[in-house]
Amino acid sequence: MKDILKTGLILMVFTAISGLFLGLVYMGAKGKIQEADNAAKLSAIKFVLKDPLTGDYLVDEKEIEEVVKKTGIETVVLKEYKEGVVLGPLYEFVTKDGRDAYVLSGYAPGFGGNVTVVACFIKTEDGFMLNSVRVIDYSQETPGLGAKIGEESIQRRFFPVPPEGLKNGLRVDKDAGLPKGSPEELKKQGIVKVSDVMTGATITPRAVVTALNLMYGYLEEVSK
Amino acid sequence: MKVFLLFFSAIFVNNFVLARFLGICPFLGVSKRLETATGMGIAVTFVMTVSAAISWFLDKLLISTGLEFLRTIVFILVIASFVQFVELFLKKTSPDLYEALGIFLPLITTNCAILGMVLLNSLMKLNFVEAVFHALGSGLGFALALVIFAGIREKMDLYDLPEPFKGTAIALITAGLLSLAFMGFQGMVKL
Amino acid sequence: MSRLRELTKGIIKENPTYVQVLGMCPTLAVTTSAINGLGMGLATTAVLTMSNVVISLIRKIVPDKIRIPIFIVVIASFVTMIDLLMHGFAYDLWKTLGLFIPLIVVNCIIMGRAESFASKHGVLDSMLDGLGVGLGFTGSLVLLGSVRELFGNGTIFGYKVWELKIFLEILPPGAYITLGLLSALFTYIGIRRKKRGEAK
Repeated sequence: MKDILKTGLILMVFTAISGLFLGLVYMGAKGKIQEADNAAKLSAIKFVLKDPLTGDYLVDEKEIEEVVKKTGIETVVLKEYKEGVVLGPLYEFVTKDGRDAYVLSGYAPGFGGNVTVVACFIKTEDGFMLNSVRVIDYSQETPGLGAKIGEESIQRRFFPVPPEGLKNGLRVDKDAGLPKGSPEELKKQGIVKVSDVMTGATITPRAVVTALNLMYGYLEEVSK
Repeated sequence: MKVFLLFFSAIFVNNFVLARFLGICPFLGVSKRLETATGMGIAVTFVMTVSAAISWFLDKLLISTGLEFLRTIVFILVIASFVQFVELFLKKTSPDLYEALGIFLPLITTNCAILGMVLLNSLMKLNFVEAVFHALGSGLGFALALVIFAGIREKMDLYDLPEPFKGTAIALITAGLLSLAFMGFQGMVKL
Repeated sequence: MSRLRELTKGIIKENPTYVQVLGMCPTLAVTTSAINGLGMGLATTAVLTMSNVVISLIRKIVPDKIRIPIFIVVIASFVTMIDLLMHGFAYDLWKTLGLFIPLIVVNCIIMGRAESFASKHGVLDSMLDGLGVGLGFTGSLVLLGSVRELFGNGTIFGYKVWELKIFLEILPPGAYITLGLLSALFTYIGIRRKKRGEAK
């Protein structure tokens, strides 16, 4: 009995020392970790505020940084739905040509976990259009299959989408009966063509589309 | 419903060994004979499920006290202690079973599948029931892969192979083919 | 002379991946590209070297009965430390390696070296042992990662080499099969060396 106590005690001492050591490392690294996380978020926000065709920033970079700083960078939950969650903060910008742009994020369950996206919607006379999307978290998706969603060329299939496409809800082409047409044509109908580049991995792009629909729905709600 | 899908997909679609690359050391090391493979499979499933249950509570505690960075240490200690406890318990209550499983129990501690499972549960933010069934399914998936593999390897020992391929190399290639077969399950489950 | 041998034995003769078949989990999972293999290898080498040093330092005061749990605590601490540092200073690599960074804890190589070497040798030797085996492991990961990236994506370290893209390489089966073939290659080299040694 005494033996067990003694060994248990020694183990506890070692664990305590390790815990303390780690606590110190954590305190030291915490700032840098926060910085790195924020930098990643900022870079995603900047990305979605670029014109998808020209690659130019729709809003001046300095201004983006200011708005983000003013609104805050801590992720907050804006609304929880059955199919996913819409995250904020909801960033509001005015583009160089005077349009209202909104940036927010959201996630929906994918194959092994949640797939998180950041998107930029721009207000037009006919409603919101989807300017650009960035998938920022897909760590639980299968490498080589669902994880291909991380590739730029594949993410491009998701944007830009005009208001008519968003109104009836975005769908992946598999859920729309695999219609024929180029990715550009189908986007206008709100159909995202991925079946040719993501064979055998429908769940991940479906998660992206679900998240985008939820974000669009939320925007519609709050702008009324 | 999600629980059932989670359970089912953990066995086939997201098979720990063949799709997620967890638990390979014992997979390659223990699968030479069918009996040992079965024993290891059952042991791993058991440890995995109970560890998942215990660590779920500890994880919630760590999150609420802001000590998430201690997650890895806490989890591995839980697993190591639990395995030790199981070993002692078996030694006293069922010496035969202890003899049969004997050498595998300490090996389970360093099995990346157990730690991987517990970390995954935390990452996927599963609730208690989901976490337990995910663990149970994953353990069974591991056991399944192990048993199939052992069956194949037992037969393979009787074949005549070129020297460089004997042992590890052919085992890995076979595992690859098995993994290819399991890929057929992809997309079966809509979570 | 002997010090140098400590360092280099981990590269071919006692190569952890292809000869001893240790540390398989991360090997197959993160080698989808050369750079990932390199990142994981270096992270593991760091943990291995540091834990070897500490374990060698405390080897005389650790009671034999609970040495394994204590080794685990030491290793887990260094892994957590590397995880935190990578999160802050190497964000992209950290995000890519994801779950497999904490899994370095259960990498049998580290526990194996701690148990078989560091707990029985001095600090300097243990450090060199850790470095050597770690570098051997890193080399193996880079090799496998390069082959998979080359045949699966047509690139190496991100630079395009050719148009060939065998999709299967990046997927689990490709990992197993490629590792199996490389393992056969190493065994073949070992057999040739032995035959040459016997012929002398």
